[in-house]
Amino acid sequence: MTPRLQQALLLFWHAWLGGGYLVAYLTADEDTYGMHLFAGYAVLAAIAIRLLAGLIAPNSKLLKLPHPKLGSFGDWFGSGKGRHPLFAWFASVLLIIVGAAAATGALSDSLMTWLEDPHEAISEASLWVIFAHIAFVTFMYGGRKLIRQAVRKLAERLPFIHA
Amino acid sequence: MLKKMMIHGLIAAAVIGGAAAVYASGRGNGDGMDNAAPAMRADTGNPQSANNGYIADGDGYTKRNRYFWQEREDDDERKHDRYGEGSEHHRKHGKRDDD
Repeated sequence: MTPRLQQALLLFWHAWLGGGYLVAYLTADEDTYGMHLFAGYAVLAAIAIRLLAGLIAPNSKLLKLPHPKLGSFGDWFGSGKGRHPLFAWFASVLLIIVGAAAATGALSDSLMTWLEDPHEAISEASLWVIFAHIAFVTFMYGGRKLIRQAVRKLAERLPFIHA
Repeated sequence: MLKKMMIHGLIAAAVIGGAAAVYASGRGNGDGMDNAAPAMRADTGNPQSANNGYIADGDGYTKRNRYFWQEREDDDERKHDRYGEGSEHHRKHGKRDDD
């Protein structure tokens, strides 16, 4: 499989997971339970396929599962080169927490109804991890540059800095 | 790239949301489709089939065919027809204790 195809598949998977999660979160009310169920199973299927792809292609640069390491923070902050270690950490935490939310939801629907409260708690927590992931990625791919430009413009306009 | 990913996510949400809506409407919020036909007959207002004992829930909420006080009135009326003056029971047994 070419890297280009792998990237396209990964983008498709990301959209599937994000779209499914959005629908599942917005339809969590009892009135829209059927939609919530469908979207939740779509999210669970996406997580299962991602794990399966990671296991099938462990040497692929794009499809392999993330391996976060604590030591990578020191290396990255020391040299400032390479990929930020938080990418791998966010990927792992998101796979775990979104997978747990989807799995507890599926189980509480049929086998273990007592998992309903943990499912809600995990889902609420997962939303904040997703917000953090979006903020981090936005900062890394555009926000950093924008903030630097804004600070520079602000510095030019403030008279006491020039004086 | 970020904007593109956001748009892809929203398109996927629309597709999954649409499919989920179709699934949910087919599922009938857990009631299944067994009562769909009688409920539809009740909705059309057919007098012969409206009071068929099914609860009509065509619009997503429960529609009552009769209220609890109407049921009570019907029951009283039925009792009166069965035991009241001029009934066969009254002719046979005369005045009842509770009349």
